[in-house]
Amino acid sequence: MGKRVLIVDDAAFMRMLLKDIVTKAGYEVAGEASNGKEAIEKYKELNPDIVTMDITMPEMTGIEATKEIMKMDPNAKIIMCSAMGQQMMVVEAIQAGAKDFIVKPFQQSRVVEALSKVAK
Amino acid sequence: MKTFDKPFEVLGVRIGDKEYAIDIGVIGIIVETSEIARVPNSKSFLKGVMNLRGRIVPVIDTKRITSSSAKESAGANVVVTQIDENEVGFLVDGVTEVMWVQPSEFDSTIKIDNSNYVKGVIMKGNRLISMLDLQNFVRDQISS
Amino acid sequence: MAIDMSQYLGIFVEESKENIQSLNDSILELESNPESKNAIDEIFRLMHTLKGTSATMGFQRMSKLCHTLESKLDEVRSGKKRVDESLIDELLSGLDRLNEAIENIEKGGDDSPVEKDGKVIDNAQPVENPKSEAVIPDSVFDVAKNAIQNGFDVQQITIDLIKDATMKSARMYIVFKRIEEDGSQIIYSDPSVEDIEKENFDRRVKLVVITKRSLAEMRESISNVSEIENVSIEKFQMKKEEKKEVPTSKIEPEKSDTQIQNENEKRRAKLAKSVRVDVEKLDSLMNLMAELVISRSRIEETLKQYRIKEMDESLSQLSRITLDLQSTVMKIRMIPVSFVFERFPRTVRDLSKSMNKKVELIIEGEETELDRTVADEIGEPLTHLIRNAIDHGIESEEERINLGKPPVGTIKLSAHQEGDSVIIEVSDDGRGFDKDKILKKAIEKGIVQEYEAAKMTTEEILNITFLPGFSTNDVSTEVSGRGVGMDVVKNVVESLNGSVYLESVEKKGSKVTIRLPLTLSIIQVLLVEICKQIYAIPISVIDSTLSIKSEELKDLEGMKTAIVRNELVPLIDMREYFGGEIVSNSRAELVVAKYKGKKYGLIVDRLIRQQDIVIKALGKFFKDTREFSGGAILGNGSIALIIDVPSLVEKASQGSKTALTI
Repeated sequence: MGKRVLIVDDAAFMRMLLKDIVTKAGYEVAGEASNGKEAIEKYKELNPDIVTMDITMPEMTGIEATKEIMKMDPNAKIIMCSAMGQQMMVVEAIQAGAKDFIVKPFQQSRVVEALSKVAK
Repeated sequence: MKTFDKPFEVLGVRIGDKEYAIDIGVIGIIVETSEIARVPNSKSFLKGVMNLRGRIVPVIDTKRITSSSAKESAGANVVVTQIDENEVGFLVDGVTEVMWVQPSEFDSTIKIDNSNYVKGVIMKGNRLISMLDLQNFVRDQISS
Repeated sequence: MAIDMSQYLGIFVEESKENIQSLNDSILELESNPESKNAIDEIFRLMHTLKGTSATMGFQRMSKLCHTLESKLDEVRSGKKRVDESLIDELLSGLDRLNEAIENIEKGGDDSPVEKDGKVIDNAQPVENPKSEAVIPDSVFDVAKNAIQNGFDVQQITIDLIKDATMKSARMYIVFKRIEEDGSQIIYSDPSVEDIEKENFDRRVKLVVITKRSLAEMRESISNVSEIENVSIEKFQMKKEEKKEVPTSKIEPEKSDTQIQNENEKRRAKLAKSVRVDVEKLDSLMNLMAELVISRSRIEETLKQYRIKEMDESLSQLSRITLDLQSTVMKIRMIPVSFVFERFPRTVRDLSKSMNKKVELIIEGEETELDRTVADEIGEPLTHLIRNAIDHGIESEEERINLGKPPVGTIKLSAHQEGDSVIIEVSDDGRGFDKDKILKKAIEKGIVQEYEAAKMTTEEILNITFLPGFSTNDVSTEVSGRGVGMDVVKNVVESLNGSVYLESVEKKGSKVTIRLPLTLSIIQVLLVEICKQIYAIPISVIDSTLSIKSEELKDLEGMKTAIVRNELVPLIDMREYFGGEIVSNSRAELVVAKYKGKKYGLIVDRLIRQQDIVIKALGKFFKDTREFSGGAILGNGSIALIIDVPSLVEKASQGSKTALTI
């Protein structure tokens, strides 16, 4: 069975897109969340293998959520989804424990590469 | 009671249809009114801020601190004062003249304008000119 | 990222020399007067500073030695140990080693003399030029040799990113992290860490790493990072030793003495380039810079009317140069926040001791940089906050045990950059603010009426602590609740154009978040028109701008809202808020701003353009008009008021209790 991925993004469209890429690449979508707080709850509930985490979201940012999740599970595998120009934030997220990042607009091949490398 | 024992110099200004005097000692420069940017939600006596040679200077609507009943006008001049390190502009309708006042010509017990910031009256012949106390005004506003 | 500290090396060396000198004096004073508490305190303080700064600069050996010496003094302070000849000897010989380390660092070396019992490493060894490109400095070979002797492996790693890699410096950051995660250490990087951070490199990065991992293990962990095209790892080629083992390798002629000298000179040059500058001079440089920015926009604006094609290129070049100059000037003024933070371990240590509490201080992000002026001002408020946290936040040891909390309380002081702001957070895991006590005190003081109290939200209650009348002198009693000097904190932060935000959970702890502007005077703004007047909104708070049809504005229980990207966003009609005339239009221009993670739409009449502006204070007459953080003079001489979105949102939501809180 494929690894289970939790998709976190505040834009429904982005979630849809990622869901598509993720499923086509042979992973299972464990669930979705639209902000940092929800991401933490969903992470507890679903215990996914990989999380794709948007950075700017309402309620709680992806960086904060990453910090919280890493506290709960130091082995969590989180891939940040960043927009151009957010390099500082990406670095912060990596400091917080994120394993990799992908940059919007997403290229399918890059997403798949990040997933497979993190999944190892 | 007389407050001054020496002659002093004042600037006469027009506010509405009345004449007032400002102690020349606090005046830095008098400029023609240029664009004044309104600052929303600020105190009512504040007309706004103006650009004075690259500095931002608050402009006080003197009509609001005297008992002038005149309607709001654009105000022709801004008298920019330097009071305790604060640069403050006062909007007036015009400037009349610079005059010397003898101690005998000034009486602090008479008030023809019941503003808190008038400290007495200058009597020049048959002209009665209220002397403004801008120093106290600025200090009160800034400390409040 | 492990930021390149070498730019501070000059100051570090200079200050350390001063400190070592003062230490020398104080130790000698102690010797002649063993009971002098002053001397002990002074030695302790200097040692502590040296410990902090050397650790910040990455000289762990120095820092460790200082720490050892510091603990010896601590024993004296606590009465466990007496000042005797052996202690003085120990202090002085330690000091000698520190001095040697500093001298070695000044020559371009490291702090290894600390461990070498005073023997300074001879740097002037002949160097073989490995392959080509950048010359690996001698010190790297020294460190490598040392590491191998201590049973480590030294590897040379060459990494090529894929051709169109995005965010190369973040990518390299992951690589660095992967390499360093098990304690492996990068001792050399080409391009330099600074260049990598600035994304000032193409695709290839060469590293020398001290590690216990095998080549295969290293390769495995690096190639698990995406967007990497190729990784090659080999054993680091040591100079002379390798020459014997690999006789086939081409031996390059050894360098002449003058060449060696040149290289040493180069290393020293970095030190010589650092000068101490009076902050006042920096201020005046900054003001001139500001004037230049204004003049530039004025020229730009004037020239636009004439549309002279030939001017375009020179003009854009002028823009570029001023922009570069601006950021350089700004950078000169930036110092790492560690300069402020480094005093706190001591503060916490002293305070917790005097209050008989067990407290651990965690400091994070001390490499975050901020403007010198901001750094100078922020120390006092932070001290207030930390004092508060220890005094009123952290419970006594037994109380904590009873509550099932770890016996040692934690205070966390952290800093990070977020867009154009620096965020400093002070949090503790103590008892939090007691809302009832705050309310009781507020009612006693007449700040809040009893009937209002019942309706107040947690946030409103916590905000009372920032009011000037609230803080009192009955600090010493614990019953007084918290809030000592909170108004001071707020005042200082606001005078720096920043904001403070307090969160607290009873029994769990509290967190104060301070948001400060990265630089004091020049910011990027969006100019907008509201009721025929021009206003500026800092780009840093803007999420997006959009134009929507008037009928898409929804009225929700008296509050205007709009759906922005599938999200219901409360709106503030700036025309109405500023008391102006509302011209009804078929479309409304929205500036969507973010504050505390929420979006707010500001309705304006027109978006004008983006621009760099110089912030000027509005002055004391406007201290209650917090919607504006200042004003800016535009190219045509008119003034644009700068809207302070956090205050605007706070004020606007007070105006309409229910509004804006969705």
